[in-house]
Amino acid sequence: MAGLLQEYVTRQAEARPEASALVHDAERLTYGDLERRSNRLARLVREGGCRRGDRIGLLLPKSPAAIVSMLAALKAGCIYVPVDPESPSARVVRILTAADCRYLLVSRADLPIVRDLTSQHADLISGRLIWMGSETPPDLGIEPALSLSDSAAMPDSALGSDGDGSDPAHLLFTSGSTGIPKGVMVAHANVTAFVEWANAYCGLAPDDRTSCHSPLHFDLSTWDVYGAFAAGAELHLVPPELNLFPGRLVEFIRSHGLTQWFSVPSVLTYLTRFDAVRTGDFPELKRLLWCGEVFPTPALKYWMERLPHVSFTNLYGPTETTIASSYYTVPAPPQDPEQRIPIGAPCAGEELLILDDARAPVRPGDIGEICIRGAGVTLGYWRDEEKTARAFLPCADRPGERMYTTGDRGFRGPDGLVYCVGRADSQIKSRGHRIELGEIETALHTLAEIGQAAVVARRTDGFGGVEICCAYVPKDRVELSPSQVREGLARLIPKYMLPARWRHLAEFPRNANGKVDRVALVEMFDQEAAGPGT
Amino acid sequence: MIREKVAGIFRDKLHVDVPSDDLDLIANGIMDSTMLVELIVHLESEFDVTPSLDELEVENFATVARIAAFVESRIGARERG
Repeated sequence: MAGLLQEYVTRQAEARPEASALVHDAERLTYGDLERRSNRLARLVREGGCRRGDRIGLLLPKSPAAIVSMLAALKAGCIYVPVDPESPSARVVRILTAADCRYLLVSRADLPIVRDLTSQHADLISGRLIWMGSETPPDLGIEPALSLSDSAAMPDSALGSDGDGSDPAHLLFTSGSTGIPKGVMVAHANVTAFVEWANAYCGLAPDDRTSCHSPLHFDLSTWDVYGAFAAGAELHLVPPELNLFPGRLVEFIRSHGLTQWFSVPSVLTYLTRFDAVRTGDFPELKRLLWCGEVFPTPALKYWMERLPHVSFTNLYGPTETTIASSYYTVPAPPQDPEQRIPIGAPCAGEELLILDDARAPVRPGDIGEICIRGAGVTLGYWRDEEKTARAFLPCADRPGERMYTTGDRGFRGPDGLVYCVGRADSQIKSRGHRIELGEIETALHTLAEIGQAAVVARRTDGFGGVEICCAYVPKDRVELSPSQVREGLARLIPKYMLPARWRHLAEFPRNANGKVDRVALVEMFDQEAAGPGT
Repeated sequence: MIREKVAGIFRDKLHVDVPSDDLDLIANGIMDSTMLVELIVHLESEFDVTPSLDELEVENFATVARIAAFVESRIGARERG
């Protein structure tokens, strides 16, 4: 078993340096290429002063350069922080400030976020910018401290490491209910534990061609990347712009001859909506996996009936317990559209507990909170002991061990499998993204024109599963259209968090306690969605 | 006329201000899959036009002008029978 994630690549590069590791558009990297490039970049950041435990921010589109950067950060003993370059500047700045990065890697000068950072947040990045483009750095307004071309002069031999499997490998920032994203500290050993189990379960081998569909700041991509490298397989980076066009996405799977596909249900459901999959499609595909939200049973049936040669596996688990903690391979196409698909049985080394409010196990069949303990339980939230202590609790029966309280509600069925039934709080899953409605409300209340705003989620039978809805009362009764609010909000939070429905109100419905009546708001939006001509 | 109606869908149904009919909605990150699905629902109810898998392409959906041209061509084909 590898102790550190980067050792997967080193091992492949020693045994099979010419084997293809990574495919992206016309670019193809062998394991030897990956090893040498990441060695050189690791040496560069080390010479630039990086020490064990320093953070390196990656503001990079999904690309071979981003993968090389991840490996280089680890080889330098550092912790990488993948940040969505499409995210609004305000959120990126909050993440970069919290992570306190020694370096920030960028590769595209035309991204709005890069322009905003160099023009308005020079203090945050001055002396910390590394230009990762292959061409000479353009005029960024700030001189990069280092650039990729500087690494050409570095030796490409391996670096010594004083790292340990319990060191954090990366920080993954997720939505926080108070508006501040939380950085989950994921250790090398958390990821290797999942990779060892998942690769064995799926039988991943050097002749496999696997997908990297999720963005790199999403924890599912962690298995895509390190799972492929551990197996010596070929990883195919899926360009995000394909997501919009179902015909192109299925053509990607076909033309690349992928043997494994891993994404979120909303993407799979999106493809069913346009009937994009043919019977017997993707003859080389062996397994399709999903995680992050419920896969609607009718859409699952559609996929399974068309692809009888493929295994379909549901994975479940939050970022805090690393990629996934339980699994269920669906044995046959479900015939009843109402049939509930279990989140299944724990992956090796993990345990799922169903606990009541007093943290005692519920009786089989009763609903309680799903809590997880085992090898995937991460180190907690970056520089936030309070939130960590609230969510990661000591195990009464196992001194020294912690469990993560997911906030998901579930029960153990008569089949011994675990079923998830929803949330206890206002966190939702939309298109695989975990969203705290509180983060959206907090952002809304920073807009000067908003008097009061409330955000609710309504369930839909559409491909997203839920729809985010916003009702607002303008300050001082000014004219304020939904598109104006939407535009203001888009500068603060990522696109996937933007509400789909809007309602301008003179005042909010209140319940008996004088609080905003959220149930009434959901009903209002349900009626609007159902009503004709709205 | 159709172009105005398409622009109206963006403004009144999707609540997005699109400053120009020729602005690339995809390259500028305005259109995501949720919005595209919503848009298609509105195109169906407003014009009775449903794009096929092959028609769901950048060429037809990148700008308000192109969406309008696509709808127009489909309506034209329908009227010619």
